[in-house]
Amino acid sequence: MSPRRKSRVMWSLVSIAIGLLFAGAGLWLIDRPDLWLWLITGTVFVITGAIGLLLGDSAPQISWGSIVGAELIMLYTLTPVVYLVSLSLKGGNADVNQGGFLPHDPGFDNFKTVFKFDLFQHALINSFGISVIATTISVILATFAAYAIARLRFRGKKIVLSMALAIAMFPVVALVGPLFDMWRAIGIYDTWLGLIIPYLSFTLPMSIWVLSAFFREIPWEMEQAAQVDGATSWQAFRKVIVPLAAPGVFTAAIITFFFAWNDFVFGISLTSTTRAIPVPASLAFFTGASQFDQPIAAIAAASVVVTVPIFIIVLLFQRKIVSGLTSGAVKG
Amino acid sequence: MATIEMKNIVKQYGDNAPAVRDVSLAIEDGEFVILVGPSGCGKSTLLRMIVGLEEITSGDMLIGGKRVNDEPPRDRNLAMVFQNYALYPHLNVYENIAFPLRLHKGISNEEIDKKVRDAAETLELTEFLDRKPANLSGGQRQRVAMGRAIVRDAQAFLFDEPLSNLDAKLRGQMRTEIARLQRKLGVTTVYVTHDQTEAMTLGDRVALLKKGVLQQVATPRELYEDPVNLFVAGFIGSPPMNMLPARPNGDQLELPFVSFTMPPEMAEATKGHELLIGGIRPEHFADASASRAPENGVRFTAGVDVVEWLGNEQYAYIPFEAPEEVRTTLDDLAKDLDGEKMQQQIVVTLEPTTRVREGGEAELVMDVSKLHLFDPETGDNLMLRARDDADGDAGGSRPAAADGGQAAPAGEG
Amino acid sequence: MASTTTLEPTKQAPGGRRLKTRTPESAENRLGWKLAGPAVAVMLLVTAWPMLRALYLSLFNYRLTDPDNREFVGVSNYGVVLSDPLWWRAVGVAVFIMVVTVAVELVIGFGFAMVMNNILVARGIVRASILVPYGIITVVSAYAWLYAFQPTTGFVNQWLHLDPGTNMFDDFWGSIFVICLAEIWKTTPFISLLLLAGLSQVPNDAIEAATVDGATWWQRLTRVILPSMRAAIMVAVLFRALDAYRIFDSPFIMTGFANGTAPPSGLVYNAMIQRVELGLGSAMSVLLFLSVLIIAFGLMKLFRVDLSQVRGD
Repeated sequence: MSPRRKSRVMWSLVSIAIGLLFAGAGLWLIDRPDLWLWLITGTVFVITGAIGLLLGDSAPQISWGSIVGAELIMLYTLTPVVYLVSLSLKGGNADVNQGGFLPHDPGFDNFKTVFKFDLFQHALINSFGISVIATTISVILATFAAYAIARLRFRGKKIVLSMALAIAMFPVVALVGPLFDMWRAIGIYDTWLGLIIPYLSFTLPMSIWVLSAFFREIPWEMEQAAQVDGATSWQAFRKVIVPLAAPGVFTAAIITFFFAWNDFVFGISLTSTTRAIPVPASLAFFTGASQFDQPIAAIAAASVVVTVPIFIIVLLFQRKIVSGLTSGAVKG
Repeated sequence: MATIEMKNIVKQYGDNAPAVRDVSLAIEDGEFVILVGPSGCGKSTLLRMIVGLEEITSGDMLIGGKRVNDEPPRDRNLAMVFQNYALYPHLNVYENIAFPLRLHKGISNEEIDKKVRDAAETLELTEFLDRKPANLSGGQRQRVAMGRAIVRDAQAFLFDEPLSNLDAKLRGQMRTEIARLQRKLGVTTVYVTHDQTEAMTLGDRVALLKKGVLQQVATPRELYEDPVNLFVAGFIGSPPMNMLPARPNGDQLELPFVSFTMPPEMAEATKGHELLIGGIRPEHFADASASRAPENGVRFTAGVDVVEWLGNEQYAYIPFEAPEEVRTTLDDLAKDLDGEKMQQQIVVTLEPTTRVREGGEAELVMDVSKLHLFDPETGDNLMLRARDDADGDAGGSRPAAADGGQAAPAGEG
Repeated sequence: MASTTTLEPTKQAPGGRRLKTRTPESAENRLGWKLAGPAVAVMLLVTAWPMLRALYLSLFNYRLTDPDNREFVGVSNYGVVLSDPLWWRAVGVAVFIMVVTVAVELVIGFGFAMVMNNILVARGIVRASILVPYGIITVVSAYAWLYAFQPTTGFVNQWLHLDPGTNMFDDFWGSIFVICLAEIWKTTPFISLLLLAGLSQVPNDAIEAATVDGATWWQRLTRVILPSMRAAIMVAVLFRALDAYRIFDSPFIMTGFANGTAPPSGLVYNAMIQRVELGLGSAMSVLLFLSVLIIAFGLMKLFRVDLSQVRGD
């Protein structure tokens, strides 16, 4: 047997074994309805293995190890997300208190409830507005800086880059105290501006890194080529450089948006009311019917709502995000 | 050291046309064989199948008489030099050379040290042993890659276009170095290249591939003088062999510039054909007044378009017009050879002292005995069989020159 | 690194811009700072200034609720913090989380990177699914893991048929286990992407050469692949280690810093925002900052890595 076929058969058998393990463990340990999840997972692995054994020869270039790996990766990344969704669909306290993964009495009531929360409504608007503004400004500033770093030689360039790196490693919490104090003094505590400014500072390093790495790869001679071809400087910039640079800028914007959308520390420290509280901080302040009753299902529903945009962005732009994250960090 | 034998080797990726089709080739122990051909001809794939980096779709690969189709590279004990040298960037020269030895337990450090230093000595790398590959020149990297191969006591050396990343001067130097090394070590060697100079100068035998099919396996000389078909004739030689329409008419053969009486074996070979492709190398022409002009060649005058003077010789370009059928065949050939559209012109090599004016007429002599005739349909060299037969009759000696010498200038220019 | 050569042309900044001016050096300098200046200013605005202010405040005994009694106390705040076992416990917790999560993430992340590097079909889906934990809000991920492990409402106890009374969040080790789990789940994708970038830069023909040289799968991994990924691994470890040391969101949501799970960030937050002891809190902030610096320098020294060199600058 050739080595490649040997590896395919081995991985197919591994996949079947994993599948049987899931199905067996499910049948032995898990009650309905969660049992179905285990059985479905098991079946997927068994089928993968069976396909590998029966049909693998027709596609010899496919690595079956990586297919089994991909399935394991998706199991890993999606389980908590699926759990949140199923938790958000649980009907009422009784269902929540019954435990388990899947809802017994599914419904969309939690979503209706959560959208009625004043706090959550405001938080969504705040988060969205603050993140978009911070992202826009940050990317514009970073584009200038990254252009300078990638294309010009000026004294202190190294300092700018090292400073960006140092700030990227900065312990954010160490700043909230002084900022809290200062913001109150100048009156921007609990305002959008009070959050936008720190978001700018902490997203700039990442944006500058991503963009300067990206700008290095742009063939700048193209600009001159366009001018030789008869374009004005503005046309050369507009028709040649902007289209080349746009994907990088866009990637930086996504990564910046993720940071702003994700922030918790500034959110809970520098805001106090619905005027400026962002989503992550608001989740921590959800209250249930009574003070001791954590509104689990409502928090889960709100979590699902705020994860949807992330999900969409990730699905649409996965290739850009990956290249942005990696080019900014490792360029060897 | 071992023989390498390929039997009906086929390589197919998915449902595409096979990259290597039914190649059979036996390489003797200690032989230096070149795999050559235009890009995409399957030569590298074949090499990678020998070494085990590529699976064999069907056929048998025997190394030292043992079938190795299903053995991983590790068990084949072959050494390979890659196109980009494939040096380990994190290891210095010493450790790069020592790498294959360190993989096997049971080789003592003293032994490794001795082998590495011997190899470094042979390749003049001793002073660079502490350097990282990034700090070496192209030629030095090349030598390190060879060093890694020679410490191995491998059954055979495989080279995958090892000189293609070097500049022209260094390439020539490394070429002789590789040849010397191979002679010294006497290891069976398979060498892939697209460069015909490397193919001609290095190999004991050259295997020429086209689209995965083996065209001819022969010594460089045979390949040059007796190409089996149009493709081989067109690939080997620089400037390439001139291809021109040839029309047999009774015992006459009409070429664009000249008609002449065919020698008997040529007449025999052309029987039944209306139109053929004649092939003749530039150096088989000469200025009629030159000292080296073949005595009983065919004389003719033709209009010279461009002259290139190179110092040791000069090329004169003579345009002609070819009929449609020949042109398509020649264009197809050009495509197979990775080239542009074939120019409708012949190139003749003249002595540098010859005075030929661009745009003027030149009186030339063509050595008809060196003329090949190819079937435009199949591309086969018809003269090969004819001359072989003639050889048989004449007891192995090749006719020195053709008999016919009745020159009749053709009406083209 | 290889890139230094490939980046050479852009480094020279081929531009007509320079030709136009008489003194290219100073003009380029000025333009450079004009473009980079605003970004630098904004970055400093919210880091350098508050940090200096923290340094200043840390020398006072100062509660926001009692501003009149502010008094200069020198470095005694630092003495208070550094002699408090709570602080050292917090540092220990953060270091523990850092070591455990980075070690586990390196292993899982490398596996992910291998899969992404080899996979031919469904590339986009795998990449997107790997980005989900990266993009998800940390607080949301913390809630998901918190609820999953809660005794009555979660599913873990049920699936493992644990005694309904078993609560992971009752003690330190249980809490820290779930915190680490959530942290690993959320940040492994980032590490795996960095490692993937490193992996894709391992020269393929070097791996093939090793195969021909007789290396086994394991030998290729340990002697060729991992050593040539050194830079990527170090960058990944550096970024993630500092990130893990600063952990805040997950313990805040899961335990509210109870059961001794407070990292230094938690102590700073409690002192500054909850108790508004700005003097003491500022001292902790400065110490937190210093400890991050120490870890960063320690790791860089350990790896002998010059980050600008990694970038190819």
